[in-house]
Amino acid sequence: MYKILCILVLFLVMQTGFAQEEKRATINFENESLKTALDKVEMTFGVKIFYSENWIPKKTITKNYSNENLETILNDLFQETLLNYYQLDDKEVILTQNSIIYDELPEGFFPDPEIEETRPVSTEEVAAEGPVFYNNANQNSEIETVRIGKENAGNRQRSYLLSGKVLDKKTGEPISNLAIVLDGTGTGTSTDIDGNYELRLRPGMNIIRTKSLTSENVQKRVIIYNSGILNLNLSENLEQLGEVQISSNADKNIDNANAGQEQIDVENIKNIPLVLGERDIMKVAVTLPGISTTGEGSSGFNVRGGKSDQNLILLDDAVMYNPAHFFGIFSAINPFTSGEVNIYKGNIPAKFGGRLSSVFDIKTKDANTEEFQGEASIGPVTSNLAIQLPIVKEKAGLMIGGRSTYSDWILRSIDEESLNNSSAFFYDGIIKYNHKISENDELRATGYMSKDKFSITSDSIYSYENRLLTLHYNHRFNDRNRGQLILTNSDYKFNIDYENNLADNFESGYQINETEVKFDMTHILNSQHQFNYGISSKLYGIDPGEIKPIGDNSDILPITLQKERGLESAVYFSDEFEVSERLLLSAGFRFSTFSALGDSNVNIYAEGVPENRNSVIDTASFGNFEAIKTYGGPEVRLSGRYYLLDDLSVKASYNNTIQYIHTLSNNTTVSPTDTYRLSGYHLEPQRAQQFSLGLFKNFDSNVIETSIEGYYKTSSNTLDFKTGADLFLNENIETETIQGEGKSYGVEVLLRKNSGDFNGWIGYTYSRSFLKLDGEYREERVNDGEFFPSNFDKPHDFSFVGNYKLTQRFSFSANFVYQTGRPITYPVGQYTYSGTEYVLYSDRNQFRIPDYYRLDLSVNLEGNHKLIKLGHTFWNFSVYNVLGRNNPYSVYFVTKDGEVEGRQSSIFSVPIPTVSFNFQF
Amino acid sequence: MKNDLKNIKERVILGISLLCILTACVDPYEPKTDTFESVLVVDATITDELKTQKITISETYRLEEGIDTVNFVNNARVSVSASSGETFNFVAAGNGEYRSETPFQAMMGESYRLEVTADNEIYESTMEQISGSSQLDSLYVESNTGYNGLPGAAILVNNKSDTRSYYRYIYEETYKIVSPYVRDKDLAVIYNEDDFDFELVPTTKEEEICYNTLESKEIVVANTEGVANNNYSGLLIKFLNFRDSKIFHRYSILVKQLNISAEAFNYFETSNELAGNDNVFSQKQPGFLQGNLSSVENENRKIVGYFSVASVDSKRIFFNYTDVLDIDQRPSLIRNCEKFRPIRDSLRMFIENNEIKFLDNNVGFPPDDFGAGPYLVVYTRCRDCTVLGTNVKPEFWID
Repeated sequence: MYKILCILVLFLVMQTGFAQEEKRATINFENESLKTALDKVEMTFGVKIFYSENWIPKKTITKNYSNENLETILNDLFQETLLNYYQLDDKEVILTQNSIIYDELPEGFFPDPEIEETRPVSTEEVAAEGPVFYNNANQNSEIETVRIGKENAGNRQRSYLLSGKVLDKKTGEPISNLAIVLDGTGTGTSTDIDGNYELRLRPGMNIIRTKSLTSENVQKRVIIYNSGILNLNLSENLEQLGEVQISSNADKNIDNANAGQEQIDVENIKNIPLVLGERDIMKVAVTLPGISTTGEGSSGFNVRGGKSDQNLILLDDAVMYNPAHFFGIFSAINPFTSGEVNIYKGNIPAKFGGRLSSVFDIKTKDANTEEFQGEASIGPVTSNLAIQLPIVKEKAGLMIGGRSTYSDWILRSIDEESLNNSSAFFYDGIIKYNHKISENDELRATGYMSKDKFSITSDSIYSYENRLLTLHYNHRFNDRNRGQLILTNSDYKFNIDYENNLADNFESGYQINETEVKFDMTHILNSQHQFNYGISSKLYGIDPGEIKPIGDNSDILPITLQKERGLESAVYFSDEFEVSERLLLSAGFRFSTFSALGDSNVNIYAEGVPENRNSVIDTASFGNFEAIKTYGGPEVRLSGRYYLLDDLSVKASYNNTIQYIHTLSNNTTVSPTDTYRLSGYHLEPQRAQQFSLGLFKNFDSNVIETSIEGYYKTSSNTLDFKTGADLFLNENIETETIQGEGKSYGVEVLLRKNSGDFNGWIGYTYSRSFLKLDGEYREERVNDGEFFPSNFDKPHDFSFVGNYKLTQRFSFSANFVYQTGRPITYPVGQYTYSGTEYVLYSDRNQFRIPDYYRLDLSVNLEGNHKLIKLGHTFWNFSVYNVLGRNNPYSVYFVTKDGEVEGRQSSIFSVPIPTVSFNFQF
Repeated sequence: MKNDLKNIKERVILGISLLCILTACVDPYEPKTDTFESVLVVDATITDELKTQKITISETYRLEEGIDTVNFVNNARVSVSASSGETFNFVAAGNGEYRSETPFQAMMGESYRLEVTADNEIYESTMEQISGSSQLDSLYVESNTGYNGLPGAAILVNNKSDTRSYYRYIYEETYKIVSPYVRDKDLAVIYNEDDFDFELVPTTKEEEICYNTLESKEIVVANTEGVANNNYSGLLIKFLNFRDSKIFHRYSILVKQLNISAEAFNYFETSNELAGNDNVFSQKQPGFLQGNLSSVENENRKIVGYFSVASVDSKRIFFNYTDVLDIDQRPSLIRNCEKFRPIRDSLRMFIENNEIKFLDNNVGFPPDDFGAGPYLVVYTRCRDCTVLGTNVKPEFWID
């Protein structure tokens, strides 16, 4: 109402001008309210100030003004308030809230009628440059209006920054990934993991909407005068729960500048058919184009034709070396405590580095700071419980999650006598503390531990464990600058204990530990540029292997491979640059270095002959933390999006990456005895570059997303092994390894429907992945030094994930996967040589194992949606491998009674039914 | 030490593969496509001994076939050319063996190239030469306990090298065979009209003492890496356990130590490692192992084998069972030599197939525990050692 008055007044006084001589006065305020201060000003200057008392904020003023004019004093008094004023004449001053009263109209306010006919000027365009005029006549009374900021006559901008935090009304937890759309423009943003968002708005009235399938959708009329904060509290929208959905950000797929980015919303994957009752982020990831596994039960991923050691798997920024339990049948990521997963398989943002192919950026949820909350599930093999405890109301919370298996009975129930002594056990636990210290400071700490232990025969025990610790301190310097200090430590080790009461009992192990410190800064320069920059440094320590006797009677001689150390550091800078409405660039640059550090003894090999143990001519010694060798280089991360049409974008990217760590494994699948080794004197870092180009189009108001993306990737110094290489407790692995060139390319097609009763996606990838090992010497050459298919070259990869919701509580899901069988090296004949029988092998990876396909089905039953009830329940009945396809996990050959026989092993060759029960409270 | 490690590895592998069984089913797997590749296999080593040099050429055979189906190649053209310009031609001698037309020896400092033409495809080796001299310091036998805990005779060598050297060992075993039963008569079948009968005829040849010689059937390699002064001692060449009939009486072994190149050593060692590659969790990378032979015109044409030129030193030793082991440990010599009395029809067949030998005709009365036939007999190998070896004493043999 005051607004109307203001505007009326404005019109009345339009012609009035100022011609008065300035009056100056001296005023002292001593702990006075603004109201009394204004009274004093009225008295001193002899003016009348018009205002409504409820506009006046509770503010005490202690200040002395000597010989100042009215304008200076009022400006100063109204600082940090929403008040503006207009001096009508030397007797009267009108105060306004937010608005400035303009004494002239901006240019073009009354358009030239002739021009208007030929070129209609939208009011928005006018508003874009001019001051805010707001006409109340159109107000829709159903939409709440909020006013943001205080208008500043001297500093009009094309746009202002609206930022804020979106919280769940009930739980107080931040809502991540919530789309916030600006009406009428099609632009918008989404909330980050902490529920924060930032949105550029044109001055004046804007209507913003939140769009989400899991939360209520709200609309706000935002009248923005200056940059400011708008926090939202939304309630959960239970009716929509259970959609399969990768991103709630409706048009993110076409809008985002980062080519080759996938996002998994963990909350929304629960309908996907399960293996043994475990909801699994990683299993969902491999249904996306470009991400595959070597086989069922292998824990590694191959992203766009890259080796499985080329993926950076981060849990709250700490590296997870083995994200799998039980040979990859379960992932080690607890779905109840995970928030969102971002997978970068194309352009990797500059803040990440150290791996060639991809980043799996997994964030744990923030604990609820409002009330106690929990979730539990019971499956046939594992049970899972996660609870969230508020520690300081609205400020701090603690989340504890744990999973454990009771799978021993499975082994016992297998009708195989040799397995009666077997056991397999795993658990993982996570604890996270989040504390909002102040409006601008937040602290998060996460601890994670997972352990697998299995014993197949009574005399040996295998175990491996991951341990992660992270600390995040976030500080918001101001609206434009935010910073994050990240400390992480990861540890991975495995162990084999062998005790059979004979003379050769031993224990053998491996361990890697890394500690990283990282400063990450974000700076929003303006609506066009957003910078992200930082510095990080990581120290590695590896115990590459040891064996020691157990007991006094053991004949085993102890061997300990010398420790490896390394320091990896990087600086990075990136800019999200909105060149125009259509063109968005994401340009990043990273410079990384790595030094292998002593103490260490390094073999020096003779020149001109192959590096093997026979050609050692000398040994070089390096002292403690002395640099053995330093590598480094620039890494470019360039990606761009261009809108061809409003709902059709093209994205292109180029990036290169460097990796200083390598796995030693010549199994085609990942096994728990794989070890990681660092680049060093002989082992050079792996390098890769990737080009990608894609088209993204959404149909039917973003309900249907389609994309086609192609990539071409080359790599160098990829680690592979000489024929017959032996890696177990090998001190000089350079004698067994070959560093080769990789080449891969592919086309990925994705069709996805995100909402509706029927939703899901279809992904198809045609891709090839090749390797070339063409060393200087015969033993370093494989397949005549030509390119040959890599272990994970699977040209055709098709997956379908679908959900059909029959009623609000009842839904069906299906999941179908087809993949070309992976390459394998076959024995192709036998020969005798000097009286002995040998097997002749084919060229490396000349043949393929049979194709892989599998269909899974599940039925989901949700508990009722009564508003007041004890908890929310969710049943899942699923059948894994409904077709009972005997998919080979591996094909290998054994020599039995002098004859070579083929064997095929498979993990789940029969349909596996599962029931799991989830309970949220 | 190395052997310890190897055992551990095998155990690790076993453990993991059992896991495979636990979660999985393992089924026989027959590759759908015919993966067989016929590849020439050339086993060629020439030495610095002045002798008729031998080279063996065969072809690979199918996985499902046994060692006795080896296809020898007898129609290849084989020659060795020396850097001096000399060429030594080889001629086929049957069973895939090729012998040099004239005896020759590899000379130190000279390079040699092997050329093989088979099926219109020309294969050539790289130029090879003698890497260094070979000096076999001592060859000896020791009473030892083998890996499976059985006592036996371990044949060991000590070498002597000035520089780091790579050796391949080839051995030749010769052992004395003594028939547990000795008689001077043999059974013969006489036919008269529709019937037949048996008669005893005098034995015509020496059947009690024989000798047999076996070539080594394994590739034993060693090097002096990590060995003080490049001299190792106690390298195991062969282990014969106490039940091995080869050492029951008198045994001799000729061990040849070939000084080979480092590359040849790697080839043989990797071949051996791949042969032990028996499942997927093995830490060995399988693949085709390229030797130093290749097709001249067709790079993709595979050929198996390594042409090596070596200097040789050899030593021979003799020992009796009692020199090494306790005679009480020796299994009975008539073990597996049951006496029996086959009935007439069987007896005739056994005689004609030379499967049995006469033992007695006037001990006991048929039918008894040995059967209902007229003669007590034993398997031929228990009375006639010539089926197990030759009755000609080798020239080198010292009793």
